Amino acid sequence: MINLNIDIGVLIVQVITFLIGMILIWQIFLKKFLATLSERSNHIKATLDTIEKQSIEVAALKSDFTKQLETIEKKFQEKIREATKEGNEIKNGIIFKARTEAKELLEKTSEKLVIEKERMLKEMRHEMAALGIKIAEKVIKESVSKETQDKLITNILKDFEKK
Amino acid sequence: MATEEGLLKETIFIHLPGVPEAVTMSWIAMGIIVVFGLLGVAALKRAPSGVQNMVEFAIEWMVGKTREFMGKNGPKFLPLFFTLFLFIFVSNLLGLLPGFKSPTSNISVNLGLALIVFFATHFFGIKEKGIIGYFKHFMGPPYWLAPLFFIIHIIGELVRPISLTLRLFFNILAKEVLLTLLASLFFAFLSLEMPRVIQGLLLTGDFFLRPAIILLGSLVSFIQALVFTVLAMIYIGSAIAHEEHEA
Repeated sequence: MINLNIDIGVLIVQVITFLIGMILIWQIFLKKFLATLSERSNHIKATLDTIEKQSIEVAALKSDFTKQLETIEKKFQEKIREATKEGNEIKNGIIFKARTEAKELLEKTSEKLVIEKERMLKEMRHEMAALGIKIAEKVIKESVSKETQDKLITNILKDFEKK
Repeated sequence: MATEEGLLKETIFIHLPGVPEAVTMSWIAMGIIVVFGLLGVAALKRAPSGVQNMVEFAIEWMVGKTREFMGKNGPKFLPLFFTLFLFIFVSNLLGLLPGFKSPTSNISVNLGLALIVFFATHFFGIKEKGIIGYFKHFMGPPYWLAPLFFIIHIIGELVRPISLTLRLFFNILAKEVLLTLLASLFFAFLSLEMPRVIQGLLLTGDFFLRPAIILLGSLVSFIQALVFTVLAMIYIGSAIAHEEHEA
């Protein structure tokens, strides 16, 4: 039949074998494997922590950059506004100056025109008077003295002005 | 049965003079674990590959089991449970190799293992709760029934190593006997005078049944190692657990 007798010697040796084996397995094998597992786990954790920190830093940097970009954009818009305003002011100034100058020029030209017109009229009157005398001279076929001629011219001019 | 045991003995070809077979096989099993452990440590890398993956998986699995059955204190007992599981598993598998015998098919070996669990249970229980605190939980809640509860608990505690021993012993012995029987039947069928067709059928059946039994034996080896280890975890876990934790 099946042997169910307990052999105390085998039992004791088995207990000792197991305990020695357990110590050996723990010391040479399990401890090192657990250390490696723990080291790896710590390494992964540290890497993950670093990644998380870096991602936070990157997010902060991104936020900073966004803010800076916004500031730059604002400044840019402000500068453009200022430049546009300045440009408009300059443009208005130039236009105003040009208009003023044009007005002055127009006025001067009008004055000159009036003077010229008067001068021209005067000359034309003289010419007309001289021509009239010459015509009269030819008509009456007599020559008049210088004094008579001047009197005649003056009279003609007066008559012309009256007309 | 005596004949089967006799046959079992005859198939073993490793004998150390003056050393019982079970002890020799137990040393071989432990030696295999230690040698594999050394090889594993020699090839230990930070980035695991191949066998290291498997070993790490086994360790993490065992750590998970200790946590599952014993709570946060479980991993402290890893050396005991890991060695227990590996030793029983390798011992059980050893019997599947020709010329070897499972040391766990010897009742004294199993009792040795069960007694280690038994003493560890009470040692760690007393260490955790103190002698009075530990034996107090044997009494049960109604004080007038304390003596009866105490006796029942003591019997229960004493039966544990016996149940551990016999469960493992009979399971592994059955596997060993079955394999030996199949091997001996093969030769018996060969030597018997019978019609060739019947003889051929019997031999073929025997030949193909053996791998199936080996496969079943491997499964039984794993399950029995697991059952023994998990029960040990539960026993020690319940001994060190505090009442509020138990609830």
